[in-house]
Amino acid sequence: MTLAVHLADANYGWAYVIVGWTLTGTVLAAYFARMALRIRRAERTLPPEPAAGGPGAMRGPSGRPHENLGNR
Amino acid sequence: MSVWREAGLVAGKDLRIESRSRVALAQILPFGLIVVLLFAFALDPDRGILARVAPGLFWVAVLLASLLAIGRAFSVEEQHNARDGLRLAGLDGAAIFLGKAAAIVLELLALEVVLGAGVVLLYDVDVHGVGVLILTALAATIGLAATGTLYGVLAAGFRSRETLLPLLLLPVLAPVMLGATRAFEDGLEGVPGDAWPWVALLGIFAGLYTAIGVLAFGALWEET
Amino acid sequence: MREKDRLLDPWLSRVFGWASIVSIVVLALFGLWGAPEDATQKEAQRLMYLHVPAAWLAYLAFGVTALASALFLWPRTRSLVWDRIAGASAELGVLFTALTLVLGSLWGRPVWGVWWAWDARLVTTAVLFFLYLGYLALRRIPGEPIGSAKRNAIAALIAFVDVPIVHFSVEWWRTLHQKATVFNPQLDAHIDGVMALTLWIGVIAFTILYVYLLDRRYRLASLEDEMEEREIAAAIEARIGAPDPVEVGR
Repeated sequence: MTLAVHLADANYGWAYVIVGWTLTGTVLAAYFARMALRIRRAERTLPPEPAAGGPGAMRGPSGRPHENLGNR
Repeated sequence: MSVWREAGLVAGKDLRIESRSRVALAQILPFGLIVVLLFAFALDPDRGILARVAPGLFWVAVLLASLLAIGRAFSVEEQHNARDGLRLAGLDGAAIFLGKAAAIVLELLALEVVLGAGVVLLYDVDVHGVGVLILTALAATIGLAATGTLYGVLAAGFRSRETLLPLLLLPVLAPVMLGATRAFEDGLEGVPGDAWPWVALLGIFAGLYTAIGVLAFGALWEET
Repeated sequence: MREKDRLLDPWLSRVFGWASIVSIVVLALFGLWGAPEDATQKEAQRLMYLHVPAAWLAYLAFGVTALASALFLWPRTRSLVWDRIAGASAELGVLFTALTLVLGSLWGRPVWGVWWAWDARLVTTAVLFFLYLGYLALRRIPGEPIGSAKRNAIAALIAFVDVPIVHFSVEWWRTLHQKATVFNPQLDAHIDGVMALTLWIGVIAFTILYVYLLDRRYRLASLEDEMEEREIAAAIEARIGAPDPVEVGR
């Protein structure tokens, strides 16, 4: 706790700035990376769509044939 | 049948269940009193701290006990297909909301009287401004019950209801906690004039969430 | 009911993605170097350039969740698209709310000597954090899509309505106790020049990032919904023991 009292001096603000900025960057990057991974995994697991329409097509909850999922 | 009569039926049913099972009396009330006791263990009873923070401690105890009361109000519907029975009876959603909330209000008011007496006795509080205290308690309890009934039905029927309800309900009740405590403080200190704005806030909160409940409860009830 | 599996076209999404990175780099340049050191706060000021944009996003995301919830409930615009947007925005919102609180703490300690203060803005943000958590917990409960979406939407709106009440009551509470105005983050007053510019860069950068992340999160939600549909269809198929003649064999 003595350490924290010393750091309460505004002159050590730079330490807090470094912690804050790196924390923000890390958290945002980690969140994005995890999401990108999950998206990639999901896109890979889902088999490619047959052309939209026709009796064999997968139907979404609306009953319409699913649109092509796109080519990301 | 008018909404009010239907609501009266629902409230009567809930209160009758309580009078027969006595869960609020035998379990929820003692819980509230235990919380009051625990606060005394947590704080030093010899230095007048308890009397000074008594309003806040009182309302925290009431809030925690209300979680149990609200959970109970919905768990009684889970047995014997009561929920389906209520639905088949064709009662208006608004009526069920008003009835359940009214029953909770009455139970909580009774609870508050006993807990209040406990706090006054155990924490050595000087009581003034009883009028303010009563009106505050009324407004706060109605807001509490309306919001609780709304979130109670949201969380109803899930296995995680017991942990979900507190998480959902308590943040929303922050203004009630704030307002009720401040009004009680002002009342007990003998400056009831300062309390009336807080009572007004509590009243607005109560009105708002009662209105929301009347509108939304029916739709939520269908989904459980 | 139109089903969308993404919010932005792939090329537009990529544009936003790169724009996010560029604008955040610009923000870092300005925030950490370009903007001058504050006279009283010294270097610690530089946390404001993250804290304020994060706070802006925390509330914007909640607004989007509430708006999307309302649009879902409105019969003419009812679509699960809104429910997905509401959920995606809430997840981003809780992230940025947490960041806001932590950054605020890190900023407050060197400048005012406290990790926390009981003023209306901070307390309301803390309550917002818990409102988000409750909403996300509710969303995690499985159920029939439309019914769950209706429930989620009502929950979001009830919580949204509470936020101004919380803010008002806390502000009132704290102004009645004048002694507690040691901590007074003058975020809106007398900041001009490069500092104000940097703040604006921050707000714009974070908003661009929000749109990009919202699009990505929506895409993920859409994919996960689709996977769940297929799992259910497969499970039904397995139960029945014969392939559904409507489905293409897989």
